[in-house]
Amino acid sequence: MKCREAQYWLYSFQPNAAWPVDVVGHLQQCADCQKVQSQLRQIDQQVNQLTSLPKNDRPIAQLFERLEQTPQTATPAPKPPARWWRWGSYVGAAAALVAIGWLLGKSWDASPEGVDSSEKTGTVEVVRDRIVTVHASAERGLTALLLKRNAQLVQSAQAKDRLETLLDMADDCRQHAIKLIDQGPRDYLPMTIDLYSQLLHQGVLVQLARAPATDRPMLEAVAKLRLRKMAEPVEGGPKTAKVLEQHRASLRSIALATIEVASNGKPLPVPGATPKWRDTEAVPATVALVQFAIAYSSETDPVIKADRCSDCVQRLMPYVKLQLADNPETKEGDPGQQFGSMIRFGVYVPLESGNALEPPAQTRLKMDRILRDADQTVGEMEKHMEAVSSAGQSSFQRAVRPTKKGWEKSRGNNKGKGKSKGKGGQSGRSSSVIPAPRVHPSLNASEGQEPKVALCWRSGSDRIIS
Amino acid sequence: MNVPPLEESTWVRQASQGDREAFARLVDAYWENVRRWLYGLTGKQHLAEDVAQETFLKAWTALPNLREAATFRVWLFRIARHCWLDARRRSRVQRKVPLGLAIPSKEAGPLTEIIGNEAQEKLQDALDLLPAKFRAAYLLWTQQELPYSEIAEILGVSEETARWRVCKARQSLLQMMNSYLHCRDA
Repeated sequence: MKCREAQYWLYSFQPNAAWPVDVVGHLQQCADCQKVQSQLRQIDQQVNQLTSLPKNDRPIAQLFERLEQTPQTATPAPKPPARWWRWGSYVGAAAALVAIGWLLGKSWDASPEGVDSSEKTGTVEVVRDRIVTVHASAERGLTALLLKRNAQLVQSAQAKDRLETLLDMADDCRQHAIKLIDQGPRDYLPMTIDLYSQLLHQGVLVQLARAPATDRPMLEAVAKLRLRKMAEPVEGGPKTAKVLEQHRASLRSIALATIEVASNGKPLPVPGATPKWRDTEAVPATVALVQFAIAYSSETDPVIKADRCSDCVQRLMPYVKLQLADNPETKEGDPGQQFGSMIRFGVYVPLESGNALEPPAQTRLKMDRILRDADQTVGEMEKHMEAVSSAGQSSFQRAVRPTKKGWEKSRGNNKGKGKSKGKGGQSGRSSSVIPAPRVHPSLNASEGQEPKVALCWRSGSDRIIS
Repeated sequence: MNVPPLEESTWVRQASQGDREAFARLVDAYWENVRRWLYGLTGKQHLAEDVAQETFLKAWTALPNLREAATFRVWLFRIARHCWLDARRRSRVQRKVPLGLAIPSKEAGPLTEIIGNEAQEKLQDALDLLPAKFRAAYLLWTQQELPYSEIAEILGVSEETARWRVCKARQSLLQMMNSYLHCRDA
């Protein structure tokens, strides 16, 4: 047994008789794990002491006094009287919102008119390296699978395709969890089971809830068939500790519970706002990919879809860069091409359809930002292409190639719209935020009429000088 | 929290019918645990006591709605969690206040004492730095010694997530305290 497997038990459970024999045996022999165990015990004791309080009878006496005056049936609290300042603050906030909207609209209209943006210098603050971590080599297989599924998901136009991709992802997580139960390491076992549960409850059930009434019986039948297979007991694994068998049972029960919700005629969970992680929060790549799949599949607005995808792509960048530098050949396909497809079909294509709807100024600003982020991601890949071996270069090229087509299309659309406002030679993507647009580096040489754009990289920001 | 379950269920049933004495027994049984957990979460004694009072008042008024007397403990901590979240929302700006109690040290000399005090401060900082949801799960596990199934119910997450949060909290604390624990070991 490896230390990592033993430490899963050390971190998650109090030592007791229910621990597997091999874990206990390892602990008796391994000095490092013994040290971790003793340090954890020290920390637990210290925290217990730190959070203990001296006895204080006063608040408890106050509580009893208050209880004496409180009837048991809850009564609604009286509403506080409305005050003039409260209404004043509402009016003030509304006025501020109107003013911000007016200013934004004005600046959007004003910027391309009569301004030679090619002479301007803009600085864009970009938050970098806040992304994902892949700690264990065992997680790489699942990450590659989920990347492949997400590349399929962003290309799925039909509800059935989306549903099947989500079911595939859930099944990937389930099989990975079974592998971890049987063979270890088990550091990420709870998280993997949680991802499986999220995909079924927040992904599959939400897809069913959102499906049009005509398609729903067919989609339910597809989902139930797959879920029944997932709920089948797994035979033939090695005999493991009781707690691991509980994990195995929980995989089944999650699938059974999903079938029950989908078939008992009760209303399916109403999809709420999709959670968005904090920028500073580092999450494992598998979590980022599952959260993206759930958020993307439940979204209908093309601009929000593009935003979600752009966010996920940026989070994955540091990890993907390392992966592509090794030119990996996985049985799940080429990760470079899949990553490129995510950018093309997940960012550029939704933006293209969003653009066709002739969105209001604020949405255009948002689209501008998303495009810029995606361009920067591609630019970053190209920059790294120069620094890796020739094998790695071809991998990066496969990642960049699919993005080029999508970029050209989105640029073409924007350019057409921008011509009415801007001067000749300016890109339609120019806005008040960045007067000088960024040019896709791979197109720089071929597009002689475009302004020359030099990229100066520095930590935390991307300075664009024309 | 060493109340025999049968006795506790009886008190819960009596209290839900308006018996104040039975509820007082429940307050005696759980007051310290709830107050301590809230103190671990808020870092302020007075705030923890206020929120604990709020918790028991809400529990008293809502007790007739409790269906299963056996789940009283989980139900009570769930109320405490909601009261804490409300208090946090009210205060708007969450300030970091160190947990201010000294640990009685078993020092042999001034150096050990200095290291001990420093380690204590470091542990306070480390606890403050833990995300609130990790801290809540970890304190329920270590301080209250609750099983993962109950922690999950209190926090409204799956059992796996509860276990994951405890695991991550302990990993982070160990990472942050590593150098100090080495000193103490030495």
